[in-house]
Amino acid sequence: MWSIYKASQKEVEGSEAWELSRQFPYAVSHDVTNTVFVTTLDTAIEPFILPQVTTDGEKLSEDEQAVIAAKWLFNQSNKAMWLTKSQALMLFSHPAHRLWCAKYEEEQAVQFESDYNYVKQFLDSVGSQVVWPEFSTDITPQQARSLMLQGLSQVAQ
Amino acid sequence: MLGLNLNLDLVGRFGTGWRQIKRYITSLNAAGGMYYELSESRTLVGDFEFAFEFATSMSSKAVLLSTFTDDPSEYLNISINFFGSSGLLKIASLGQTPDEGSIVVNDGVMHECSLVFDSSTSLLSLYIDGSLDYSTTHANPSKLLGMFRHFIIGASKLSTGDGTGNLCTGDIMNFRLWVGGDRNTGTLVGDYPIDEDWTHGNVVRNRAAQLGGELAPSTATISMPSQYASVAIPNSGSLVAGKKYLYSMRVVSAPEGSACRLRSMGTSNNLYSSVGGRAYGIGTADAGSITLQGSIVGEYVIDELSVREIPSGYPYALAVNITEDEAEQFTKVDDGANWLGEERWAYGDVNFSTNDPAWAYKPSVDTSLTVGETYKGSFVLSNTSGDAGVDMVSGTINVSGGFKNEDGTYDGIFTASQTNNRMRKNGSPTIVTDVSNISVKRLIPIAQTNLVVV
Repeated sequence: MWSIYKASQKEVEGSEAWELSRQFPYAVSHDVTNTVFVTTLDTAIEPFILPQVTTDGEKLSEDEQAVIAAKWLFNQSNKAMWLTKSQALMLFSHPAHRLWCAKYEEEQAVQFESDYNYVKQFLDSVGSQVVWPEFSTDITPQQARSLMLQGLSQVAQ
Repeated sequence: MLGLNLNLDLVGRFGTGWRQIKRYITSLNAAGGMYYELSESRTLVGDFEFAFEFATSMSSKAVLLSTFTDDPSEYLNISINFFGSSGLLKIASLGQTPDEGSIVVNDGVMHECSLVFDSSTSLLSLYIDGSLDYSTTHANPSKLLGMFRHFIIGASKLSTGDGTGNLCTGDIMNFRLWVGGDRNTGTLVGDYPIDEDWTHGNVVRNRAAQLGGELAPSTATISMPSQYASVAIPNSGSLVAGKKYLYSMRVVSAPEGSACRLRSMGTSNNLYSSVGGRAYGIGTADAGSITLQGSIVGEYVIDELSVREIPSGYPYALAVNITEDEAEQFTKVDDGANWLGEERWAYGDVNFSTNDPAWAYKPSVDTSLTVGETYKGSFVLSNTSGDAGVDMVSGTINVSGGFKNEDGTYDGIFTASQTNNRMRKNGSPTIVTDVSNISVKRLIPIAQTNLVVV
């Protein structure tokens, strides 16, 4: 299992993220906000385990898992989210993660437009009321990230 | 993940001996921020060549190899780019190197990549599996040569200098670096297999480096007079400030609840180890003797103690954000065309009876595969009756899928679409069959079969 903490937690001496960062000083923070550790801390308190199935045993889709992860990460400040390596890779490859990280290079314009439209529809489908303008080349990745943040603030309550 | 490297002679198709080769291949995973970093910088002067083997099947840009000065904008990268294509290699260096390759490499197959620099023409030539992919000139060689350069394998340094980006997901190994010429004329200063077990922790051996003499006794008993005191290890040699050392130790006994470390290796490279724990690492020494620091007063007994200088210019490599759990032993026959990973099937034989409903899974849950990776699956059916049909799910291996061999066995290659890997009874509830010899192993095809095997 891997774990994700708020990046700021690494600076809190004695915290779980601080403990892990001594073992993994170069743990990656793709989005600046959250840090991924390729392990878990045995003594972690009440970690949230990202589900792969519903309480009825139905398999959750990648989008459904992404929504659960996004809501939880939006609301949490100091506890760990535990997830499998496969889940981490799935979330990392999800359009919402790319848009959230907002690190598109010049040759990734097509990818940016595709991700923008995907996430717009994706957040609409889970109840966001944010009005996303039609994609244009004037829209920057940072603007898209702001729209995502607004949308998440509505659906994560 | 420890194991024995066995060299077994098999009989080849022409009666010659085939040698089985085993390697611990660790897949880089961009989500975890995994990469390798050389332990010190290296100056490039005159001609040089980099070479490594890699297998990727990514969907977005990644850097396979990056070298840069203390200013991260002075980089030279080998990256996989996506200009609306399926992934082609590009030599990148802040607008200094136009063009890109044309050979498709992002196909999950193990390729050898080599970059050769001719200083007389400033020409950089990229070779894939021994064939020239493309050449480009470096518009400003003064930004390339004569400066200390850092090296990262599987990522690049962010232009801000803070962290890494363009992380790679895939397999990279056998990184080599020649300076003063190419592989035929130059000096080999870096030879990193990146395919060994974790006996040495996250330290990747440089086979080109001749370590200095042993500076520490193999065992030591230290009486710690006060909390966090540093005590010189008797009969040990002197360290030189700023030099890199490869060190190891094992804690035989220590006060309960204590931790200890080789204090001499600089504050940023200390290793903590509990009783029975083993430390192995690279440290930059502060001046003086080799010392042990303990957190509690009492006696510390250590063995497997070793401190040896890494010669300047022959850096070791460190695995960053990679753990032992990620290492998987792969096997290859030396004139074969694939690397085959460890057995993922852990459930023995499976029997389907009339009591099992249609579409029954066995086992009910399994998460041993990684989506997007390629696997070889195989099984044997026996005692079959009814409207036979059994699938290996997560792949396409089934009775009717064309994977039946002349001898009645079934095998095939598939790309996992889910983490689950299970046997599934087909739609008819009347099927009775025994499934045996079930096997699922990760497979990395090799583009050429004459890759150098060491």
